[in-house]
Amino acid sequence: MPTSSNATRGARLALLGVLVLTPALVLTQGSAQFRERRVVVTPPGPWTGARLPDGQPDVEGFWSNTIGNHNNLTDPQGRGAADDGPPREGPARPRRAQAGPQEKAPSRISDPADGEVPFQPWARARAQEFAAHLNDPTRPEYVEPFARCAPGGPTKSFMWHGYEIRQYPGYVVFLFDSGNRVIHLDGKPAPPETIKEWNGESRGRWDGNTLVVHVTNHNAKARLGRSGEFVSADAAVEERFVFDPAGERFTYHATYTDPSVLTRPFTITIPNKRVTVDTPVDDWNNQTFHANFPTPRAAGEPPLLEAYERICVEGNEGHGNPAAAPQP
Amino acid sequence: MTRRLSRPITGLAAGLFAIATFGAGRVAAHHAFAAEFDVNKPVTLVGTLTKVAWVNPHGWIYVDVKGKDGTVTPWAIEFGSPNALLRRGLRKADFPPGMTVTVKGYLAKSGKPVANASTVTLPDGRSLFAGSSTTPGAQP
Amino acid sequence: MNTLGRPALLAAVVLAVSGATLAAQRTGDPATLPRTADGRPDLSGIWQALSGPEFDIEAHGPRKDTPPGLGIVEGGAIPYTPQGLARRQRNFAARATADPRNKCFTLGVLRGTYSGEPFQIFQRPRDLTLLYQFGHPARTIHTNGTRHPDGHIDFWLGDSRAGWEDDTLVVDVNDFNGETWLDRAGNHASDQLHVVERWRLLDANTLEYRATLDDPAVYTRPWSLSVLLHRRREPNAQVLENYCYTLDYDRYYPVPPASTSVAPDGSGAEKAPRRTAARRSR
Repeated sequence: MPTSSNATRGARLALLGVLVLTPALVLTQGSAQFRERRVVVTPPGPWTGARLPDGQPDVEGFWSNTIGNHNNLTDPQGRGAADDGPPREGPARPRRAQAGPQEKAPSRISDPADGEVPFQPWARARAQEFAAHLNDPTRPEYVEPFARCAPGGPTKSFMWHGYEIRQYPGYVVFLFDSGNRVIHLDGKPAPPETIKEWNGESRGRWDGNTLVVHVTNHNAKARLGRSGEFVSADAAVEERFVFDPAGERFTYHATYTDPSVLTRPFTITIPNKRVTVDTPVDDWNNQTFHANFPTPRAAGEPPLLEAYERICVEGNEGHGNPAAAPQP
Repeated sequence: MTRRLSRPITGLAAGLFAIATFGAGRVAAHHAFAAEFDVNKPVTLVGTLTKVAWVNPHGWIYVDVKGKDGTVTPWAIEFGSPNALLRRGLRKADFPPGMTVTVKGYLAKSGKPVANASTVTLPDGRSLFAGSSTTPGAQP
Repeated sequence: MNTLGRPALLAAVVLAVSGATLAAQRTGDPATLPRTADGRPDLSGIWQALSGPEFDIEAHGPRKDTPPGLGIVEGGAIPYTPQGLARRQRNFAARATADPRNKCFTLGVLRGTYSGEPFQIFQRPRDLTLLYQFGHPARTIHTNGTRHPDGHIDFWLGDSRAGWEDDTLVVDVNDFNGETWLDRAGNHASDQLHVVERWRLLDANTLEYRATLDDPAVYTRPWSLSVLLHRRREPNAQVLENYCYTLDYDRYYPVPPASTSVAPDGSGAEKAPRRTAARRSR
């Protein structure tokens, strides 16, 4: 039931009128300011920043990748086979200068040097088959699992919206829009491999500024992008989260080893930046809002960022077809 | 409640209520648009809002549309992210059932009365869109 | 009712009821409770209720799909309005298909606590994070003095703002979406639900959970439930993934098997390798 007074409601309606145009500019500016075409790689080394009481480097907070989405693994800003939808109506928008080829974001495959997944030929064909049918999902296996709210998998989860890191003695917890990852730091063994999970099981340790993670028990169903790249559920996944002690950036690396699918291992590299109170809200990298306090904050104290609940309800109805609307 | 906004644009706003939308041209939705909706089948619907499903990543509105022959067809329309609306101070209560809404969008490939909305506007100019997940970097 | 008045009313009800209830529970020696660095009881760990309440939170005899149980509703029966009771009967009759758990919808803050699947509490000074195994959602209980967002929001897990009263964590929860059930028997609440929870360690391995529910659309008065949670103490206990909403479709995503697949051009029928010894030994 509405709780706002008439005055507040009137103000809100007036604000709505402003919102009609303003967020379009905010989105462009916010996105352009946060996103980068250049991959900034943080080198491994000692941690000289703040630490939590248990000794872990303090990297809690909101973060997001600085380049692209999961439309295309090797072309982060490209669309690949994924159709991004029709042009939306609206006032004419100033178009930014076309980026020259030298400014195009590099492939997320940092090794091998050609930026391509070193597939065995049969596997490359299977990946292309998935990509070719993304917009023509005549069979259930062509429906992107992410469209049904399936988690993004250990690596692809970092190729979408902003996320949050929370740390505790013995744990680093990642909260994504769809799915969560718990990195166990206490050395407990992983479950038997008969248990397969979308985001896998993660066991890690800190080495200087780097969180080293060994991922097991992953079901490999999430794939690595709408472009269809995949590995098998037997793939070994080694991750390194390399945090800049200055506190604003980290680089995610994941090395995949899978002799059944690949001709050699490959590494995905994804640069990430911290989302702060100064990051414009763009509903992509920055999905935070300012927490309500009972009294005005002390002068100079910045707002506190929060996120709304992260629960995906899309594929929980009529699982066979994401375009089947949930029944009212 | 403060929200982070750039300098508001006034003056121009009034004439553009009805058609102004968001997104930077192309939208990378949670699911690939073309997998489910047909860009070659635009629809315009005017009807009565019967329900708003305030769920993420895509909210749904249900609209009763009266045909020329008087029959009423309930449509299910996918709009943007309720969390994006929340961040801009909007609430589900701002869109109560019974309102007349105008929807422009694209028909579902299934052919059922389901559509993906590009715009959802109310008679007083309010919009259900406050920005969707754009594809930063996908457009020049 | 304005949002300022209800918490005061609820607090009065909770205080009136809790006095008698506290006397009935053995209170743990505060000196033996695990504590965080800021002196608060440390609720961190993996907790799980016994399975009874999930079937039916009211006292009930055996049914083909339900063991008998004394229930966890203080006072015995939920004080439904006539409409609320009628809705509960309809839910009960249709529970095999209508239970939102069947679609793996989020169980919510109440049922998620006593559902019989474990959840993990992660605690830091500013908040507690509850990670439920069923569906794997994360709930945040803010303990940093912040308030609910303005206006009503439809959340599956509500919005939780809490403070400590001595060694009891008192949580005010609102912003429900009315979509969750309280158990498999169809007990329910609407989006006008308001809950005050009290979390209290009785000893290092037992966590008492009490919740007072107020929903004028469904109940004639506030009422409370109470259940014990037990710490999972097996070595290497952990919460597993249970994205149960993927179970209907995950069979459509076979990772293309190497050993049996032949690409359209006829290439590639390599056998999948055995797992290496290095991966086995952990």
